Amino acid sequence: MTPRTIITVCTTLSAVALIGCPNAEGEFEAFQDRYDTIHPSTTGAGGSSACETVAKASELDGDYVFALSASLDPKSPVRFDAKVTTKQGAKGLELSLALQAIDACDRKTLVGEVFDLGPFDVAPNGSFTAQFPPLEVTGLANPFSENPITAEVSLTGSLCAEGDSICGALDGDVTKPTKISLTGSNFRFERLTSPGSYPTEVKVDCDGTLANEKLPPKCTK
Amino acid sequence: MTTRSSKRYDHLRRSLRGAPLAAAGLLGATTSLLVADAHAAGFATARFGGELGHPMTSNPTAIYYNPAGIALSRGVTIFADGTLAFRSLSYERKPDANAPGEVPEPADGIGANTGKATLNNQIAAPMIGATYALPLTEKLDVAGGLAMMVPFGGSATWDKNEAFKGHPNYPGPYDGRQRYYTIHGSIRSLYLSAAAAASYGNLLSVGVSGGVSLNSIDSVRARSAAIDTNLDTEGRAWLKAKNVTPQLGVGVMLTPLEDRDKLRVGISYQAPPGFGSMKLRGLLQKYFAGNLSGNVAGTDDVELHQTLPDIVRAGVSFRPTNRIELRLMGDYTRWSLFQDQCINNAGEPCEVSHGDDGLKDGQPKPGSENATVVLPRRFRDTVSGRIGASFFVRPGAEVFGGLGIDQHAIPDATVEPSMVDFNSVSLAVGGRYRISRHIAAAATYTQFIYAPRDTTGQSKMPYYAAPSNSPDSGGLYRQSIGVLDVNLQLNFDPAREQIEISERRAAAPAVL
Repeated sequence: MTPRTIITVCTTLSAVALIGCPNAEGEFEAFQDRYDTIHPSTTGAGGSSACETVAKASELDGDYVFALSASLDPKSPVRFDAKVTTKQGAKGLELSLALQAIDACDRKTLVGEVFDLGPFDVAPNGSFTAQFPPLEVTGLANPFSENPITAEVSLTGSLCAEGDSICGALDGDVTKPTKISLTGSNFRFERLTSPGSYPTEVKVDCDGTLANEKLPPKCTK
Repeated sequence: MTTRSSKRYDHLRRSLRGAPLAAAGLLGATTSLLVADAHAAGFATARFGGELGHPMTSNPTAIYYNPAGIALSRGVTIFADGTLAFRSLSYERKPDANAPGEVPEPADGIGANTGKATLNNQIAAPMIGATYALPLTEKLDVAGGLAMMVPFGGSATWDKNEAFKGHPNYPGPYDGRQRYYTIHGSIRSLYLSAAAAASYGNLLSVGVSGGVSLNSIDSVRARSAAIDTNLDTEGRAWLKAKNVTPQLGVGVMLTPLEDRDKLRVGISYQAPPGFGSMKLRGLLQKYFAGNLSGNVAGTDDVELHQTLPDIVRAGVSFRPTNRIELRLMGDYTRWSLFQDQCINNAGEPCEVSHGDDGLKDGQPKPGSENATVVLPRRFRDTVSGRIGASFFVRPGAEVFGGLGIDQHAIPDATVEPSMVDFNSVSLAVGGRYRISRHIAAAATYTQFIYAPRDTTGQSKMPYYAAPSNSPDSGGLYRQSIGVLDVNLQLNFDPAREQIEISERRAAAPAVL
């Protein structure tokens, strides 16, 4: 009998002897079943709606608050200050962004580096897909913990003439501190009345769902 | 059979196309583990041998309690033991409404997070051992042995909160009000030990045991990304991890009187499994649900870092007459080694500040920033004591009893339903009967009486820095455990029996 066989036999013997042996995996799956029953597939909810009129170059330019609403807790978005620029390029409208994270606790201090992103092509119907390079966001902007976040995301939305917002679906992955799929997430840019004056109520998707007003637990210690 | 979770894991692995599976620790959210089922302090569960398992014994349980003892046995001894524990535990969750992460129960969720949770479990654990002892010279006896036992561990299955069965809005509360710490779980260190011992001059015995410890954890709990009690965003985290570590024990026994059973003084040391910090490697699966979006599930390749305690045991047994044996014993368990359980990406360190180095209490130290979750334990060393007595009704028939006290290892700040510990008093009664020349059976029933603990307002769990924080675990804990230990011992001495046969033959008249 090899040592490996001995270990296997002993482990099995011990496991068999457990009466009422817990089944953690079974409980994990049972919760998923209950959740799926209550929330039938909602992946992609909050996606952008079609434009009646496509925005013109410079029409949407200005200062925004950008809410990145991850599907794992949609009402606790990562917030950014955003400067939106649109201009007419060789192939059509182009969208450029300058993002800087906002402190998750005071919700007004800009933290970390500025990300200059784009230009991204905008289709004639106003739709766009903006594939961001990996963004390394400081832990100060993380609404859940102090951990810095690295994410590779793409935004899919439309630049519509009406309104003061840009919204749509967000896909991709958080790669640090852990691998998390962001499929089913949303985003929304909401125009600021003046630069740096961030609203207390932030919308997180095209439906206008409001983020939690209460500060996250990490900020209340 | 492939389960749903394992399928999901396979899918994720493929989707990552060989990239290193990122560790545990999702933006601060994750899992917990462990469900302790302590018969003694912390989650030590060594009760094999019943009232006859102690550092002065010579039966095969000595391989764990004091390996020197096996040198006092004779011939071959095979020992099969089963411990059956009947455990009931209740936890009445009474969180501080202002604690970080404490979200008020919604009108249709009253009773989801506050009130009483219960469990009633039966748990069995086997111990098997065999020893062989023989005189090598007139003054030197030697012995060897093998054994399998479970000195640390426990498991728990909590009752459901039936008021939330089939709830139309909240899938989480059905798993009970303790679910933020544990729903189902087990922890175990299974020892496979070999031992060697020698006894010299009928006075001093020394022994050593060693082998491997098979350590495992399998636990699921409720968790949300924000580490709060919001019913809308409640998810689940499941950790399954294991490893194999070395383990070692040494012991000494003094038998100063000519009759080695009359007075025995034993002392032993059991090193921490793995001789220090150990890393259990495994999978962390998460299922976080959002109001507006679909499900997000993930799997990580993670390591759980922890250090289990070492133990010093000592005791004395004395037989003032041939019919009575008195025993006094105790142990000192260095539970202060068990400070945190830290989960991080496999291959990365996982060290946590205790707030004495300029960092926040619970904050990962530099180099450990990717830690997914930390479970602050902050255990304290414990001392336990026990007195016992045996009365030998006649040769081969013995009745015994014992009284013990155990100190709890877990401070109020970190007590939570998966890690509960109490100051306790235990009463044991039992007997041992020699069925035949070679076979004896014994049974011990021990009732542990625990002083209730009310930690309302004392929980520090919500106040640790992420990722060490968890919802408030304050509340009223009550526990009762009864342990039935039964064992069968087979003993024979081939050498002595050969001598007896020879002597009988020599004494018999010649037939031919």
